[in-house]
Amino acid sequence: MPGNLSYRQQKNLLIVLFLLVPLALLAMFSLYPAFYLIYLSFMTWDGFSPEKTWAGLANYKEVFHNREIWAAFSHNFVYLGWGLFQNALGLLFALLLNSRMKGRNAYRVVLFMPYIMNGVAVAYMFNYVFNSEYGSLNTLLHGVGLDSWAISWFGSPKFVNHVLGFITLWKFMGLNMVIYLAALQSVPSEIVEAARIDGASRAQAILHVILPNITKVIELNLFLTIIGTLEIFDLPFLLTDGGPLGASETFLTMTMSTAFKFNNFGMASAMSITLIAAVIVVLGIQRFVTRRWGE
Amino acid sequence: MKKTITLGLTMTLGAGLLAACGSSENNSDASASASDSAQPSASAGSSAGASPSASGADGGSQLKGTITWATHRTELVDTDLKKYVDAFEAKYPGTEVKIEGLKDYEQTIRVRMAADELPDVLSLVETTKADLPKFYEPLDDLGLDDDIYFKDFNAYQGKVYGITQQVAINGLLYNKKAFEKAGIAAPPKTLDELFADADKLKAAGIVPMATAFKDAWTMQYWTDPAEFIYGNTGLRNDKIKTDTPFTVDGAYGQGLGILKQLFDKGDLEKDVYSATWDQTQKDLASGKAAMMYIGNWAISNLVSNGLSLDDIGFVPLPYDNSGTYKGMMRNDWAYAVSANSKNKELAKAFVKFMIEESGDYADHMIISPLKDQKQSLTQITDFMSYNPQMMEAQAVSEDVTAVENKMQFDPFKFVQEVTVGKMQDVFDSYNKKWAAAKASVAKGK
Repeated sequence: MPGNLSYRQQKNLLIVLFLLVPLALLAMFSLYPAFYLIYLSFMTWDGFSPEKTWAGLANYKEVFHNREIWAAFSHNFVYLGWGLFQNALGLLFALLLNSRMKGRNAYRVVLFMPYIMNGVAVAYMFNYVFNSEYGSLNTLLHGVGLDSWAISWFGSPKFVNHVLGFITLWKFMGLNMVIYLAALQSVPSEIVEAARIDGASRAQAILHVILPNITKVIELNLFLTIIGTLEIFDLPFLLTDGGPLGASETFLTMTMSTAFKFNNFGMASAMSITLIAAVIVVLGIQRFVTRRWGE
Repeated sequence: MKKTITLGLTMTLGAGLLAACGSSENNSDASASASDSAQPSASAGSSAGASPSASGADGGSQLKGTITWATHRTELVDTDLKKYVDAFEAKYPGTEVKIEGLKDYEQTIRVRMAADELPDVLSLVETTKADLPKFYEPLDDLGLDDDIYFKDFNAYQGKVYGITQQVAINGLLYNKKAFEKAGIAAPPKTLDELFADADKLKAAGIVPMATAFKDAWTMQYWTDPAEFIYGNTGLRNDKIKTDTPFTVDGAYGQGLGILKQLFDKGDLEKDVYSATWDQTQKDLASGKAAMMYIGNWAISNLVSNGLSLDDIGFVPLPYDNSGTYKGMMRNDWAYAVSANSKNKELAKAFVKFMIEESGDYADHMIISPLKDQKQSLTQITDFMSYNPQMMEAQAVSEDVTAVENKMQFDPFKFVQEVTVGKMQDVFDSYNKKWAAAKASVAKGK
């Protein structure tokens, strides 16, 4: 039978056959759940009973009216602040390690190492570091006489998000750095040299020659950071579980408890969709800003 | 360019193949387990079908086949639970009980519930009462209804769908050595004595009252005094009658006030926000902390942390100065049989065996759900020598659950907030949320 097909038909058949499996997988594991999520966000459902009832926009209204959810979302912006700092730090280390420094490979490995570590392991490690009574940080602070600084790090509503933000910085800075490093190495050395010969100082060369050449990569790193910080979940979930008294809840930990603690899957789905929308908005702003700066 | 395309294609294909392998493996796995459960259930179905027609409800000797038992007690699956299953299988030859220990028990079961694939015997996961018959089988024909505690907890329209696996009594657990070190001869008999003892313990450098505040769930027991003062265990359910259930001079304010006073006087852990249950067990065992208000099941935790059973005291919590006592009994996870089980006879026989014959309660120093079971643990007999009026905790009613879920009420966090916050402010904000959620739930109906 294949003999009867024209070359064109055979080609199309082949393409369809090759694409069938990946497309089916995509539909099954990405598209279907995504559409189901949208569908659920308009429903009232407790997660196990056979009946789901139509709720219309009620879930969304409640998401926007619930002050606790938005208070939790504001905590995400603390992480975002640390995330921006993390990018700056990553870029700084990348610039430093891009020079002909002694032992730079060792430094690169050390700085990248935290990223390889498992998130749960990191959480447990810092749980020990920041423990108020037995932790190494407070022991150190007591040791050097700074007793008043040795506070309950996870217990203070004011500091807890910053502590968690710092841990995310520690964990993900290496990734940013490596990406920046790769970008820096792709900047042609001729133009940098030409700038130096023309009398540009090192700082000027970086600011006016190197950075404009890697805006795309800066954009990528910001993109990753923004998504990561707005959707932060594992660290607060493992280390504080939203405590003390909800001071370290993030949008996603709230979503999880709405679904699995309060059995309100409809509203949790609406929260997820809202989060996607919020990420798109923040990313839009970021693109707008970086575009203008790049031009 | 071409190279990248080929590379991309290869990778996609590779991934597709990998995924395909994965999924086919899953499929075969699923079909294997499906046929697994289908086979025995087919044979079981015939025997189950045969036994009632042959000899009515009494089909003890005909029990055959295989059932699956899902349990949340993962740490005991390969040891004690295996022992009970072996004993059961020895008693009824030709039967097989497969134990399935589930780490994330409740979530896993909920997913299976939605998929209608519950194991034959399981620990009951709460649903609305009206949904109980949809998922679970009535257990009234076990003949245990009048002998067990908490028969109404998982009942609907007069039928019992779950039997609690153990009963817990909440009391003041204390380390006798720590009391000795602080010069305290006997456990506190009145509330004033409790505060006085706390001062002595503090002076001796011991944390008077441990809470494991950070882990939150350990705080739930502190609502007991509120129910003692209220006079019955309907406090949480009676909230539905009012728009302002939380008042400072009411049961909630007075009951939680005990914990709050302890906190305000510095009688809890130095930094409550980092006090975890893991650490608390060790501190109680070592005498760094002296008391905790918690269920009797925690006694075995202290023993496994190295405190001798003789040094553990367990008495009712004095919630006022009257010298009369009350004790709260709470249920635990309940045994249940799936409504879709293919071998209900065997599943029910197994539940009966676990409750009556397994010896589970003695092995784990817990209290059997059977009212007539004699308690051998000295801590429990000591507790009972105070003649406390025992109260059975109630299930949260459906309409209260609906409102609480609507307002996203977290009872643990509530106790935490009252303890460290300004009681009036905390109550005001909860009353406001309660009233709004109640109105919106009422409107939805």
